[in-house]
Amino acid sequence: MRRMRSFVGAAAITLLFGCGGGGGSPAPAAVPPAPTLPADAPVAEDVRAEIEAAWRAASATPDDVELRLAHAARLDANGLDALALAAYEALLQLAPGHARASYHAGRAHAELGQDEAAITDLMRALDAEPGYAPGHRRLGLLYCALGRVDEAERSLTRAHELDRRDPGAALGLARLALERGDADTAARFAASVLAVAPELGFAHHLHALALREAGRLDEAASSAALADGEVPEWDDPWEREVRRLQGGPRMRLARGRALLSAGRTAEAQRLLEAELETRPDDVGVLGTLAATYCALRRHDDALALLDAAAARMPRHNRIPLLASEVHASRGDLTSAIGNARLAVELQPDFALAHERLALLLRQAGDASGADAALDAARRLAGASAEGPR
Amino acid sequence: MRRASWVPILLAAGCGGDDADPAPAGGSSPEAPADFRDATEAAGLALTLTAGGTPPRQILEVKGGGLALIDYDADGDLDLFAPNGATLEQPDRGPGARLFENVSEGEPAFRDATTAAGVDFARWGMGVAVGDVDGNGFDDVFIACYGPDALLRNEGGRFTAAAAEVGLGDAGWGTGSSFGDVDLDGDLDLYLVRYLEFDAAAPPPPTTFLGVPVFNGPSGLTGQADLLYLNEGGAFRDVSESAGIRAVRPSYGLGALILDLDADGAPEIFVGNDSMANFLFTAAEGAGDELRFEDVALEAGLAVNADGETQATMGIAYGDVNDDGLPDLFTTNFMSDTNSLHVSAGGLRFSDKTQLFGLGMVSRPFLGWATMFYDFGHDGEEDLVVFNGHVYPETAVQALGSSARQRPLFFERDGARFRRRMPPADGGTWLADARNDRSAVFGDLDGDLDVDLVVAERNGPVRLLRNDGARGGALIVRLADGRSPGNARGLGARVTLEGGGRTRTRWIASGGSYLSACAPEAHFGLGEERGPFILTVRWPDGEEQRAEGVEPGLRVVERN
Repeated sequence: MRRMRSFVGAAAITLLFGCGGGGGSPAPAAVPPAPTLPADAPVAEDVRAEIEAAWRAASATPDDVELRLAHAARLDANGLDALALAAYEALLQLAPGHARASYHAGRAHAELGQDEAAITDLMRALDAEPGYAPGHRRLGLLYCALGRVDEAERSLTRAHELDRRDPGAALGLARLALERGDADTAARFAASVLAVAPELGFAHHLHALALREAGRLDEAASSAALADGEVPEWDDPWEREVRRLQGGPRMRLARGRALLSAGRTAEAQRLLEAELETRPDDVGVLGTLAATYCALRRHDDALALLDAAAARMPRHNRIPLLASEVHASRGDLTSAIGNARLAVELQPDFALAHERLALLLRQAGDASGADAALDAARRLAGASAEGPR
Repeated sequence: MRRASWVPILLAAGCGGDDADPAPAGGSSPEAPADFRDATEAAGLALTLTAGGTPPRQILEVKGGGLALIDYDADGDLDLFAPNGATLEQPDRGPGARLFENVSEGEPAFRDATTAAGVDFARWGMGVAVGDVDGNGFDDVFIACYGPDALLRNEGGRFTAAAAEVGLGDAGWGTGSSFGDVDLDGDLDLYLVRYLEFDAAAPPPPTTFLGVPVFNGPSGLTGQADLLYLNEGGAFRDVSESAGIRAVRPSYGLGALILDLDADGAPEIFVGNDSMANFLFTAAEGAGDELRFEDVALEAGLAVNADGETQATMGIAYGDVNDDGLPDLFTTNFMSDTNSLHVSAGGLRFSDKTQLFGLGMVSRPFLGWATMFYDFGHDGEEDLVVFNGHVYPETAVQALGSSARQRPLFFERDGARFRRRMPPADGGTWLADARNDRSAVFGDLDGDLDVDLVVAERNGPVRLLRNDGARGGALIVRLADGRSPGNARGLGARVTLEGGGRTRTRWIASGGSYLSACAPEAHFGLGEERGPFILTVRWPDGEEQRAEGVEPGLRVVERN
């Protein structure tokens, strides 16, 4: 999913070369220098220290491509798209065929809204590594977003051929088929993903859309009830290598969530407990660590954290929803239902809360209540389920 | 107006441009030599609108206010009305509405007629709708307000306040409004879009965005239910409950369009909601003769975009992008989201074809408001214009990598796609002019058959952009329905023009653009085609009227 553009032009980047902090030996004139981090760049101190260390290492051995890549990737990981792009491009002057550098330069160009340059870089990367399926998918989705459907289809088909298990490529093809008005093909691709990933809400959404456009309204309604309108971030190992270098509180919290989602609860716990020490009032950290404790079956610890979170944000609808899950996890159905009801009360159009309530009521034997809650969830499907921010 | 869902880190404030416009990408075309020219001053249009303070502190202050083109004196040309807003300190006492009489003779010219026409309105006006609600031959003005709504009844070119008298005057926060004959009885009913619960005397505390204070909402605040009023002999009755309008959850509504979207003879009501699913009200199954609607937006594909995401849906444009005779809908959205084009697939089924038509990525840096399809250049194809501007204070917007002031977007047809026309490198034109725009109205203001426009900034001057770029002929169609004096201008009618091997379709409707009322007429750019053409009007009651041998020019189609 493409992020918002930032608008730091190439001219501005050029001005940054050679100025600001850092240190170490200057690069020989023939070798383009790695860009330095401006003194007022909005990064946390620990992130700044890591970036500057990477810069020093890259500048000390200016023709070491891997050190330069590490520096560029650290800029990239921390959202400094324009600087990262400058670093990747400097690297590519040293090593024009470098697949990863081209790839990341393409990603950075895309972030900056420079679509044609992004396409050129991604294609160069794929010339060097033609078997990298996520790269074909990324290129295909970029073409798709630009409405260049033929090129999109070629790239997404290639990605799908290279990795049949990749839901991103298949759903990209489904989305493309919808653009073209080919609802049957779209439904087929979405169904193929659901066959192996039935929990994928976005696949349900595209499936529902395709079925609706094919006139299969009843089936569409069933699929829509399970749909989620949020486009997932598809797995991309090269990008993941970069993301691993993320620093700062926001990045660490995102990493904690990702670790939890991946089932790596011990790592998530370590990271989030350290984070809580420095940010004891952060509701995001409290909630994510509570979810981690729940996964580790430390229910009392989880509920204590959620109490603390609720004390800080009493109207945050996800806190009782999470508490509901914790209570259910330890078998306290009454408290679980009470918290699910509270989540609904706090945000009546929160489909997920209705769905959760329906599940719990069914477990409690309240069939009519469950049906009513499920009806509400269906009715609200497709609407925003975000609570107060 | 939906808040960005993630936060990029900008390298350094001040590095970007001043208008959120990245370097020209592929797929854009240079500006033609002739185009729109700012004729505000020459036309005597001295008007600055008020909408809260600058920088805005509350969500109430960021919406701007609408404009209306209205022939208030029934002399055949389009006059300009602006309801104007107010401030948080005195929300019920702003600088007041203004009316400008069109006195153009070749060049556009306007004269302030506010006092002479008896316009006396100074509350916080938001949206405006125009229609002859009492069938006396003079168009009245409805103003959706923060606070009690207003109806300015036009009695032969003089206005009197009549909301309470006719059963209007809801005290909530009204935004968009649209007249249309929803019960097909020959007069104009009113759909009022409302936004959210807001008390200017006790506003919600601000929140922060990247350390910069910004206003709170809409998420987390309480939405307000919309209202549907039936016209019963010039007086209105609130039928929201019985007609099914209350059956949907109250949402953050901004605009409405009343139009027969599936060409079945009965109008639908499309409502654009901010950050929540849109509504599409159509006659409820089994309603029979009873006026009862149901919301089918989700089933119709209009509730959300193709990715299943709710959008901000500020502006609404309608047109026929694929020449199939059915209206397609284009909506403008928050930055980092795309605007959306929903193309009719027949019946009440729409498909999001934003990307296919080249309207997706190009709009991501912009926060869009007023928009409309028109053939501005008279090449036979409808263009698309979008006016933009951010809602956050400049410091916060810069942290987003953008600017509060943003350029307009102008798209021309290039085969099956739209292609953005870029401003020239040396700037100096309306396309290069970055503003904090909100509303716009479109119509032929100087009688030369091309479409001019008037744009309003938030807390900025209103500008008149005269169309100097149209080449070739055009046909403007106005309706005069003697059989239904309560809807004499034929709001809801479909107008088709056959000739030159193709059929073009337009609709005359109320609503659309953003909080505004555009000229109630159909415009066809004809290029070098001279006709004769066949013109067919399908009146709101379904009757079709056909005229052959139609030539370029202004044509009034009458029915008696």
